Amino acid sequence: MRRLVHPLTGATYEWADDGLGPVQVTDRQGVTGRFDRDGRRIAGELVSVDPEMCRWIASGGPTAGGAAGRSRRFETPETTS
Amino acid sequence: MTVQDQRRPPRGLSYQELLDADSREVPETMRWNVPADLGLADVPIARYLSREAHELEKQHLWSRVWQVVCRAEQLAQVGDTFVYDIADRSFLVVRHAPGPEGLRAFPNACLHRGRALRDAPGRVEELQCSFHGFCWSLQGQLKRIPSEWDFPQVRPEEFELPRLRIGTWGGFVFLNPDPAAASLGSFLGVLPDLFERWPLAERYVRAHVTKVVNANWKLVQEAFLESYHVVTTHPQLLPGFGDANSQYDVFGNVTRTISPRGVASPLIGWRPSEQEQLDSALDVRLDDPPALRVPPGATARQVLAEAARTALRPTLGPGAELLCDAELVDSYFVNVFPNAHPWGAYNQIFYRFRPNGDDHRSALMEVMLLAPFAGERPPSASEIRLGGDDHWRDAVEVLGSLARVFDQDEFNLEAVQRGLLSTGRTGVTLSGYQEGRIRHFHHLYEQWVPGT
Repeated sequence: MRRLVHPLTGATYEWADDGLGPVQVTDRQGVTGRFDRDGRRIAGELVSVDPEMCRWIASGGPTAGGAAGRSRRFETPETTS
Repeated sequence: MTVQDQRRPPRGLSYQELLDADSREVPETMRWNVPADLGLADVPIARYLSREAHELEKQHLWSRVWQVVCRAEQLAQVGDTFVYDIADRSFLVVRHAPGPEGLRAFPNACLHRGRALRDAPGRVEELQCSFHGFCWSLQGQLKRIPSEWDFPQVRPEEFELPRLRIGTWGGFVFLNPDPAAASLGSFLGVLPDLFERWPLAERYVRAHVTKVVNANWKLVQEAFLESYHVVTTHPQLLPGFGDANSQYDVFGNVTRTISPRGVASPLIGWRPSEQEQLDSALDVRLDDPPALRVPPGATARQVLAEAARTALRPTLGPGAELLCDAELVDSYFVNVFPNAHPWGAYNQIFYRFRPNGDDHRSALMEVMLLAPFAGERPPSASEIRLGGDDHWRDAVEVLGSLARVFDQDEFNLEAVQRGLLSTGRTGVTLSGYQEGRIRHFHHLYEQWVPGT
């Protein structure tokens, strides 16, 4: 799973493409939920998340690198598609 | 409290203090620090929503202002033509001879029955209307009229295509429909000075994407005039993006923001390590392999700068060594009134924002990546056009992670347009400093478009 911690809320956002919404979010108390790319709730106990963070996680895809990770300034071995 | 007093961010260093720590000598123009101080008045919402404002823009702005038409390489060969449409008007730019004086611009209309002379860019030997065949030379002189005997009133010397003013800067072709307009040079002001170290004419179009956004063109543009929105629109950037450390400057018709990267936002309540700042800048997540590592004693900014410097060596040669860290790392975004955004340094980005045809409720947002090159100029990338229901992420193959950033911006823009229709307020409230470039835009706009 590709995980990123929200720098303001501390919640963890991760790719979880098992057909139940691409984004799984776990808040600092451990409450989890599944959300679509616009932050709309699909399942789980967690009700509210950051939709922009969901967009970022969803558009980044399940694996590192590739076009979605490419910088306009330079390429690294990991970001070269 | 004045805008001057507000320039220092609530926590963290000012941008000028960050420059003091650079590994190289910083260009003088990056030391310029000229904030706007234009009061705190609201901007009228009707300016974004009303048809009347759009009609006034057509009358007073688009018909009088210098505006970017295309890249010069799109008009490189004699006979190349480019069709430039703005609102309900269409213009035709033609290369009739080599060199800087070899471009001409005309209204894109046959002088006979008014059909557009050209429907799209392309190379021609003459300008012949496809309706009845009236034909002009590339210089705009009348060449022939089918059944000429039937037009005794037409005198060829009085039937030349009307010439419009044209100019070039930075590899861009500019046009002004107003024969009384001030020169392009005086209009651009300090712009050539800002770009002296990063000549945009020596770039090629690496990527080109145009998208319809269902919001007024000014509203869309304003999302790209400040870094104030980063904290909520792009939260993933915050460990490596000094949004509140940004510097905002205005210079006549030109404005800029410089936002430091490889430093943490002063708005987050914790202190990321240098490696965490670097990982954030490269979208490296908790389970991803590291893209780059910060050596002991080094900073994320230094690592990012060296990676960018390395990438530029094949094209810039020894010149890459002279570039300071800030030029290689920071977001340096420039706006030329009313709608062109050439980014500074080697950010490569160029934006342009226009009404979508004659519709004031939707806009065309155009993105080019302008990359330096060595040797023969590479061919320009083909333009990808995305509709209002498409997504920026559809262009991720050519725009890379930038498409995902725009995807986040887009999430708000159409909602702003809907919200402005519902708010019941008469004005938009702007901050004094961080949204000062938007306020400055409207300050100029009010001078150009009276009655809005």
